[in-house]
Amino acid sequence: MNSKQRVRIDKTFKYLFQFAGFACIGILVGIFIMLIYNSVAFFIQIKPLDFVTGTQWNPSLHFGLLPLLASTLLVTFGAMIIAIPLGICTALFISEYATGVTKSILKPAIEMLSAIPSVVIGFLGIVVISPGISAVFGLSNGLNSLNGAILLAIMALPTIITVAEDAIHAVPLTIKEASYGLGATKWSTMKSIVLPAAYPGIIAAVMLGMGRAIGETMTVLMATGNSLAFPTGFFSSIRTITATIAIEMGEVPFQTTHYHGLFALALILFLITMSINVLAERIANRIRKFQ
Amino acid sequence: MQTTKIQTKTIIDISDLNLFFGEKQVLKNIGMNIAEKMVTALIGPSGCGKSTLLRTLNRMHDLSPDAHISGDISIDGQNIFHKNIIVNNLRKKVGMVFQKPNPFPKSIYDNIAYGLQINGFSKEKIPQIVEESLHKSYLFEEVKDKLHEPATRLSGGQQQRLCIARTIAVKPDIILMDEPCSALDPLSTLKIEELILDLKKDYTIVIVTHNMQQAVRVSDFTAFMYLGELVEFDETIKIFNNPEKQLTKNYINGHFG
Repeated sequence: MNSKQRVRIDKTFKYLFQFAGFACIGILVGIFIMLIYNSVAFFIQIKPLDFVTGTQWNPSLHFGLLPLLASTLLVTFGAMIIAIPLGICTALFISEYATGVTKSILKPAIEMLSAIPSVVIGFLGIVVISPGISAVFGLSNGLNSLNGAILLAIMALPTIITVAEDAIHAVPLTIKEASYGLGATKWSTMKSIVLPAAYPGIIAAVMLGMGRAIGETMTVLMATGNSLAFPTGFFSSIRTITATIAIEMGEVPFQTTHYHGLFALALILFLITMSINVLAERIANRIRKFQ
Repeated sequence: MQTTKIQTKTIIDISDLNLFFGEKQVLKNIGMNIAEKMVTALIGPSGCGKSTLLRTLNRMHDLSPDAHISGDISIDGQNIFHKNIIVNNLRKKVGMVFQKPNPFPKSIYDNIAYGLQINGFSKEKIPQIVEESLHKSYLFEEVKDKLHEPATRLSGGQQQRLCIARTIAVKPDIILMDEPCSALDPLSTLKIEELILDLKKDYTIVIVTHNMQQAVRVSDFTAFMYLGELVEFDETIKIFNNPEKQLTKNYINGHFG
């Protein structure tokens, strides 16, 4: 092989990798432009203020974001209340207490949990958890936001546990030893040394779990009752932003106000997940300063 | 030499100590008495078990499930392996400084205050003890204006002195030092050595070192270990000038290690 050829091969690969890198950015920008373009078309017809303050989503007449947004936030909030403590405690158990057989079963089992398709989780919600909720609380219908929150918690758990466990595991043994060396118990070491040091990673874990919960569609579509009424609590049937887009996109006439409205919903969803990311990054940075 | 024998009181009494990691025997029948308010150096080639021996003294091996220990270690006449011993209390009494400076990812102040909080020192006394400890470890002048900045911004030598400050803050009787200068430059090493000589007035110090000149400079007694056995243990002057065993002589003359 002469040197000319070698230079050519070298360059070819450089361009190949460059293309791959730029393709990702291209896709991201493309999606963003598509969302903005269609949302603008929507906002020409419906005033943005009416959209974000409207309390009714009834696509022939009213395009009010609030009931859908409230549904999404309610179910995500409920899921996080369940998943964050459970996830962090499990991560601590795996990383700091579990040994041998327990650990070797627990970790793959949790990863397996994330391999369950969301439609199966939705199924579980319809046939097991929803009847359970209606029996325990004496409700006629268990397909409500509590049901959705429990299912989303199950779905967010593997992400939270895996990422949080990595972060906890990455805390250097040397500083744990320093803490034990001062006479600290396991609990004080965990509370005052391990958790603060792992904090950025734990925030990332929670953030990813929350992103998973907000963006999840199939499960909430199946198991939360599909009600467009404004939610009043965890026993209300709801319909999230994602479920609304999924249900209505298939039937909506092309290029109508309704069609553009679904893009506006998607844009809102995108803005929510993005602000969660930015916020989490800022919290993580503030704490990382000490490391 | 016999006539100049230093008068001492034993604080740590080690007898018939054997330690296994799984199948591998790392310490073999160690027996030695460590003198109170003296500096005892543990020397020997890498892998001879000196750090392992040091870490048995505050039961750091409790953290490794495959370590098995037999034999006795008594500190102030109490067997540290007895089931009534609360290991956290033992570790408060027997402090430890590690090979690499390992400050907590907290502020300078909190690095010291943490040990005080977990050991139940009263809240009002903590600021005063923090300051005292920083004075004792020759660090106060360098850090007095930045007590609430992250400890990780200090230089390596300052970090190690902070680790010493944090150890002495909880008022131990014994300080174990595991090659405390191996990651430091010569000037920082010198400062730590001065500090060790100063601390000797109040504390019993056991120091593992790779550096034989350091053992000569700071220690009163030296134990030479080889392949898990205690080869020779005597006054430092004796070990370095007139060792009994040929093996010791070869090691201190740099024939191996």
